[in-house]
Amino acid sequence: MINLLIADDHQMMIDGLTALLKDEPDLRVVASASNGLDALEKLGSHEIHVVLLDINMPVMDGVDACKQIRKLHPMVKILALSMYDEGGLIAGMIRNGAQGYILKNTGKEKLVKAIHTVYEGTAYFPDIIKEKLLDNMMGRRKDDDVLTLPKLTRREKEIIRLIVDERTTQEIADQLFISVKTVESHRKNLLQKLNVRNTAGLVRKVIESGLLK
Amino acid sequence: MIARKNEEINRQKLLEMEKNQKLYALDAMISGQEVERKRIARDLHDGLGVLLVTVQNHFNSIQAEIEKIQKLDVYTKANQLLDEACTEVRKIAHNMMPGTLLKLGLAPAIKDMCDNMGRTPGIQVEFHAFGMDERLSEATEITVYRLAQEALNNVVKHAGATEVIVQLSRNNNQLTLTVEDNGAGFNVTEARKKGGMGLKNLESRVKYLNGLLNIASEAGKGTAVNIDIPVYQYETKTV
Repeated sequence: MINLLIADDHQMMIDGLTALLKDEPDLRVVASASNGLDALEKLGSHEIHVVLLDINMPVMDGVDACKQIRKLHPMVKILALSMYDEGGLIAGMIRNGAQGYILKNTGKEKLVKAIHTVYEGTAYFPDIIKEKLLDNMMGRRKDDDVLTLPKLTRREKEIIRLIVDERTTQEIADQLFISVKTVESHRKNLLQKLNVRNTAGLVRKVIESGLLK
Repeated sequence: MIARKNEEINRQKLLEMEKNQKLYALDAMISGQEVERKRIARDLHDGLGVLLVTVQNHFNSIQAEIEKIQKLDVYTKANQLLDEACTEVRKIAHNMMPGTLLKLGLAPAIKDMCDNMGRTPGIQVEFHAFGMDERLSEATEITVYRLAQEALNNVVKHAGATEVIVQLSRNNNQLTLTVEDNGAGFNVTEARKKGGMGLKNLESRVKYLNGLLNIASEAGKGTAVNIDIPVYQYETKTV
């Protein structure tokens, strides 16, 4: 038997889900909560295996609740159940410890499958969520991929050209009509962007890769 | 003589007041708009969205009772329509106010925007963020998000670019948003004089944040939009 907690600030949603799941032989809704904090309290007083967690809730939203549940009740599995299909939020919930993410209008069959899957310790993401997640991760991967170097902005190229020309920070600032501080922050960003440790590494990478062209 | 001088001073004062009044009105308009957008997004998500989902759930639970209903075309069709309605509500609410922006902040939200745009074939959108670990005030986050949206809209509408870079960086009290494309480019001075909606929206929002807008464009080589915005220590809150 899998014990469930439903956390959602709409009683209508809780009632609907409870009704939907009532004939499932091995699922049992043992508690419900109207926000994240309430959910944490219920987790303290009930034996729960899987939490169906909404994101948009007052007092403590699903993003924060997810993090807290992971920390305080590491054995409890979290299945995010949301109206949002935004890549950033999906990635954020997973980072905070959700094992699954489904949209609220997912049909009964998939919902039941999702609950069983996360209960057994496997991640569950329907194709539509997977796609969004992949888009989100592809964008990030570009940062440290050796083959596809990040593109530089015009300003960054100007600054690197001047660095290669052995200009001092002050000279660069004067020539580009920007402050020394701004030049410094561009330089710092560039080190991070190109994944190098210092200016020498920056110059080497830029020349080797032909990024200035 | 003195009377004339007084008159001049009064006139100046009036002008100054008028200017302040205009700025205030702009402020009120922008923040009013955003509050309204947030409210509508919430209503859509929480009101209509939940209602639709519940209807769908009830509808689905009928299927267990009467197996035969499933075989009817009308059942499949209605279910499909409900799905479409949910997707539509989600899309409208997202455009009004993205959840990622409110829950996670500027960088993840603009990243989403870039990811979505990059899914269009023929256009590559790169996003980089530096020093964006701390949240900014909600008003700043929303306005900068709209700035990025406006700048990217302009790229899509006018530039015909194949590559776009969006970069967001914070260094102490300065936030910089850069949007560059390799598209058609345009004459900046002329466009600013003409005052098209895209540029006007950028200008008024940057002004609202006491920022600096710099647009460099060259025909055939593309456009670089640079926006510097002052942010203050007291408005940051840690996540």
